Amino acid sequence: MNTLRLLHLADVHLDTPFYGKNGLWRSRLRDAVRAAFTRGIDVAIERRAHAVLVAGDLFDNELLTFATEQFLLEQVGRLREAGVYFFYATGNHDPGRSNYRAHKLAWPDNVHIFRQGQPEEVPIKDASGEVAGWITGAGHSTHREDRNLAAEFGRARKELPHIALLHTQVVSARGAENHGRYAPSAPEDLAAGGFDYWALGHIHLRQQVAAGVPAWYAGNIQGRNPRETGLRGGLWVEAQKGFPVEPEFVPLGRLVWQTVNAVCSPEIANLAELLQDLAGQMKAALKPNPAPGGLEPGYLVRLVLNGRSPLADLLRDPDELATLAGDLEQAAGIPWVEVRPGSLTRPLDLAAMRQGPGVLATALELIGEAQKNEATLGTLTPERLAYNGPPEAQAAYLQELLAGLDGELAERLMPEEEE
Amino acid sequence: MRIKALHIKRYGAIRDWGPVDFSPGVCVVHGPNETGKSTMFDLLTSMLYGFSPAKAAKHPYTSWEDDHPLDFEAALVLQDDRVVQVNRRLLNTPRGTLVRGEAAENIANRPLPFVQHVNRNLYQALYALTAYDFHNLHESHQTEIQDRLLGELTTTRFRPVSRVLQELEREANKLWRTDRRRTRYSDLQEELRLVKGKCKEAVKREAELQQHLTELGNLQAKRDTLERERARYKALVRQAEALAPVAGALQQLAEWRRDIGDTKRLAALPVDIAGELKRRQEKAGTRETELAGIRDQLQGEQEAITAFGDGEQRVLDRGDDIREWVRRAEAHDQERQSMGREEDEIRLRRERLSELAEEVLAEPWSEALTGSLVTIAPAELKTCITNCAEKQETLRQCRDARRHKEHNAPRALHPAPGWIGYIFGAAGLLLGVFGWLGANLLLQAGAVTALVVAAGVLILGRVMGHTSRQLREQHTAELSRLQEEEKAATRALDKSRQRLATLLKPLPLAAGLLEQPQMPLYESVIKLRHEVIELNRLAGRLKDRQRKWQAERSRLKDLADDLGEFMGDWAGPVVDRLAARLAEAGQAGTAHDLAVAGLTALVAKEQNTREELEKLQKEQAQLEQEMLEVAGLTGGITGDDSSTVLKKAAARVSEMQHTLSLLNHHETELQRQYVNLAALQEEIRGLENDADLAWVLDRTEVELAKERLEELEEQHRELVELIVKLDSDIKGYLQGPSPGELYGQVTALEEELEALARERDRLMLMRMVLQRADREFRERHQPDVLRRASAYLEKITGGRYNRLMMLTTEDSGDTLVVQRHDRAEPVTVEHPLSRGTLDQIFLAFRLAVIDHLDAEHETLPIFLDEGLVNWDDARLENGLQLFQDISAARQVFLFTCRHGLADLVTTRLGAPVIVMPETVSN
Repeated sequence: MNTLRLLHLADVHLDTPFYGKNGLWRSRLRDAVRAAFTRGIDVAIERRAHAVLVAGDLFDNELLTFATEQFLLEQVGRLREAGVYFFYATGNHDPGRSNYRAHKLAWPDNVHIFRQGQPEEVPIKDASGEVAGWITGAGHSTHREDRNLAAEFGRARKELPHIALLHTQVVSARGAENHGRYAPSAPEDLAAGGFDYWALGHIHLRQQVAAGVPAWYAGNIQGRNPRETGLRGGLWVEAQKGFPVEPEFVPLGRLVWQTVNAVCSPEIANLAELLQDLAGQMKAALKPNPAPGGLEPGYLVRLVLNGRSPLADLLRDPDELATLAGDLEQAAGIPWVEVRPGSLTRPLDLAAMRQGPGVLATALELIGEAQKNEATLGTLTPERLAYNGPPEAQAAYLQELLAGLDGELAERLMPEEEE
Repeated sequence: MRIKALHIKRYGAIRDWGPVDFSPGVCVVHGPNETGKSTMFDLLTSMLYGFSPAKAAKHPYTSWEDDHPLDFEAALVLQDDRVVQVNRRLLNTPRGTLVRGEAAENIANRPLPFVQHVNRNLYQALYALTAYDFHNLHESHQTEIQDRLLGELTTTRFRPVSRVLQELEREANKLWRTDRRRTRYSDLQEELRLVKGKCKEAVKREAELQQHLTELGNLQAKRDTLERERARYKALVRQAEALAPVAGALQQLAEWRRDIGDTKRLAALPVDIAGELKRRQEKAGTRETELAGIRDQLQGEQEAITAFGDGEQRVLDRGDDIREWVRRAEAHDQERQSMGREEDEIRLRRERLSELAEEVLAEPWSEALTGSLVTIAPAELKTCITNCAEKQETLRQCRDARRHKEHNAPRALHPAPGWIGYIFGAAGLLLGVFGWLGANLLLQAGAVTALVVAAGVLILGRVMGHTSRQLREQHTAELSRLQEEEKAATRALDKSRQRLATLLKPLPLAAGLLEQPQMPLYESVIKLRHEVIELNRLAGRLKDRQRKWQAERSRLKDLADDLGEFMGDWAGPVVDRLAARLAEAGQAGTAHDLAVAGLTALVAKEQNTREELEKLQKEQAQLEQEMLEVAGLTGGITGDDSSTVLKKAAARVSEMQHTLSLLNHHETELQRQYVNLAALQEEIRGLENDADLAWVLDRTEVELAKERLEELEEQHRELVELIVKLDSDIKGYLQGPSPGELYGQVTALEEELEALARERDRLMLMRMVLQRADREFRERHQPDVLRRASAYLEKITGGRYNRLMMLTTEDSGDTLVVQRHDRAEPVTVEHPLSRGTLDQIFLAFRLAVIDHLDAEHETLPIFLDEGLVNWDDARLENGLQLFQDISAARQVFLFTCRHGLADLVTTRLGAPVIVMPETVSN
């Protein structure tokens, strides 16, 4: 049985912006992407892949530096020396039309770029030159590809494994709302052609787009900001005609974003105790599950403080938070910690305060109702919001704002001398 | 609910006090300052709600002197008159017991079941009113007053809602706002804009950096190539410089050899070949000159022989005729000239004849008229013309007479017109009739006069007519006679003219000449006749002379034709030529004879000289050929003549001879200088055989190589400078932040902006919640509270203020106002209302709120601690009365440190005074 070995990567975003405390960390994160990409190339060579597939957004057209360009060509050159193909379908960040960078780089001859929206079918050959499988790919020719490219892929061949490669937004996928609606498609479009595997890119969250549909997002290879949490990498695919593909996650990004929700105890009234407590909670939350492939992740932690604490007022001071973060980095042995106040409040007996009558009790009652009832929340929404997100996400946004609002409101109504 | 009895075993400084019984109605608790009134209130709160804090170690009233727990018990009377016992102790854990009838219930630290409609905080805030509260109230803004008043529904420990709302709005607006005022958000946006600007610059810089890097790569590659080339050139130039003297010398020798070619042939040539050639040429030239002289002589002799031919002989043969014509030629040409002059005269005469003929004849002169003209007799012509002239004169006289008569004819006499007589007659008749009819005498006289005048006129006319007729008849007869005479004269004239015409008939005379012939006609005809006769004479004579001259000319022409000369018009030239030819023919005959005699000797001399010259030329040619071959100019030099070629060849041979001497000299010298000459030659040959390196031995090429090396050095220096500059530029570019880094800042700023927006929205949402809660709360409770408060206030102020209201305006929101009974408009509850009035409003509100809160529940006791300081007597009276009224349903505790107030209350209300124990104060 012919087995096609592939490494599916996507959304590498070489040289694109990163969230970071400062330039040093942003620089480290950029370097981490390069390291992750290099690791991916290593894996492909070590496992004797037939091809590396990149499902778009390999880099940002405007931001790719000369040094990174050289790096990219060098890595692809390594694949060439090892006889590994590099199939690359352009995305909305690196479109393929002739005036964009993807077109201008001096790619070696093991690279095939799918630059146009019209799907193109290319054989994948093994070391002996025999056709081991087929790949059909399509790319974004411009920054704003709004056609359903997946619908044009036609049908797969029947004799050998046939892979599809595309940068698309499957509108029903998790996290789709966080990405631009480019080349939108539906799971039905991906199931229709009988392809053995769809290597997708665009949504940074690794996932199968729907049960029974052999279409996977590999996610990005290195998380770029605190929202892109968890291990990131590529998917190792061994495709055999007629058998369902079970892609194996290959972690590549060594720096791993993680959000830890810590609960502050009302019993802890000094920062030293709090530091130890929080460090313990972080370690427990990050208790490492050994990453596949022996990767030693370096965690970048966003610690969110919740609960009731007599130190609540202190912990709202940005300078105190920064100091605490630095102390936590040392105490927990974590290279990067950011501390944010979540629903942290002073130790208030909100339950007692809810016992009416009174303005505060009425307010707490209103908050409780708004959390359950969207209409109530609507009546409480300020006429003008600073919120600039999509209208459809506004309700969820307001619900997020309600979290911890009761405690803070009670605190604000509490006179200073009671603190 | 009412506290019936209280026994304090330990609470703060109070120890074993009681049991104290509290009677229904107002209870006055008297004690100086620091005797424990606040402790009392906290104890009662703990009794109702449990200990707070619940740990003995943290409780403020736990004694630090010993470890005795807080401990007390109380008896309470509920609204349904049931009595319950409450016992609470604060050990490690709070303990509490509630005894209802026979049943005892462990309530631990929980509130009593019948006070749960009011929580602890609310109770503490609302049901205890201290002088401090009043004082605070006086210092507060009126908006705070209303907050506080309605806030009593919650707790005075909470801050006024309006203040919190303002804070929230202020904080939110600091972050983000809808107008264009500066906020943290707008600051960040500006920062973001700047960073984005830097991003664009960085992208541009990155593009430039890429160009620079590419250029640097190209320059470095170019530099490497250049350095390789430079190194190679350096090595080769060093080798070239080492071998150059030997190679140069060998090359020079080789060049010389190549230049010389066959040295033997060169050596065989005379040393001064140019001089040798010149000498040989001069000798040949002498011989050539001699030969040319002989040949000239020979040619002269032959020309002399051939110069005397048949022509010369014929000229000599006609020598006599020529000499005869030499004598006659001049006379012959003079005769021709004379005849020409005579022809001119005849032509002039003919012209004059034509002119004369034009005067007389009607047509031009022709020779045909000559005979007719000569035959006219001059005398007869003269007679005829004279006769005609006389007849013409006679006719003229007759005609003049007739004309005179005709012009002098008698004039006709004109009688007076008859019509005048008739007019006068008619007028006379008319006047007569009117005179008659009118018997007017004047008219009648007029009529007579008119008739007379008419008769006279008519008579005169008749006489004048008769005389005129007689004169006209006499004149007519005279004129007829004269006309007859004129006719006779005309006939005589016509006859004379007829005769003259007959005489001149052969001549076509001009019209009119015969009409009135006069003597000029005669003279013209006679003159014409004379000219004709003279012309005929001259023409005959000329004809004879021409015939004679022509015969002579024919003879001369025959002579000229015989000797082949062209005759021409005149005899002189041809005769001169013939004479010259005759002389030449004589000389040629003499020369011919002499040439024939010397010709043989001259031919022999010419042959000898020629043979000698040919020998010289052959030797010369051989030497030149040898020289040309040696000089390598056998192919000739195109465009040059032979002498130039030979000169060049000679110069070349001389040069080669010089080169040969140099070659011999240098070869000897080189062998002396270089002992290893053979090895060096071998190395040089190796280079020569290498096509790529052969140039090393070429001095010119080496010089070029050195120049090239210098160029390479210069290029290398320039390249290195460029590379250094580029490298420096690149470092400069690299020092700046990369686009990715800047976009990272952008991302961070955008996230911060998002967080700011989120925080602002959260604050505003909180504000909305609070505002909404406040409003709902007011709507729910305010009417009842206001109604109750108004009643209390009216009672306290003795009816002066009878209503409290909330006025809502858009500008200032809700405002608490109070209505005075004698004023139309309400007054805002604030200064300048008096402090006492404000205290009373505050108390009224508080009591109303309390009523509102525990309506339909157990009524909880209230505590007033020195709250009536600013009240005047009347209102104090009213106030005490009010407390008295209230105490029917609610237990009222008045705490005071003043005896006066305690006494007053006792006096007015009959309330017992409970005195705090002395020990307490210690």
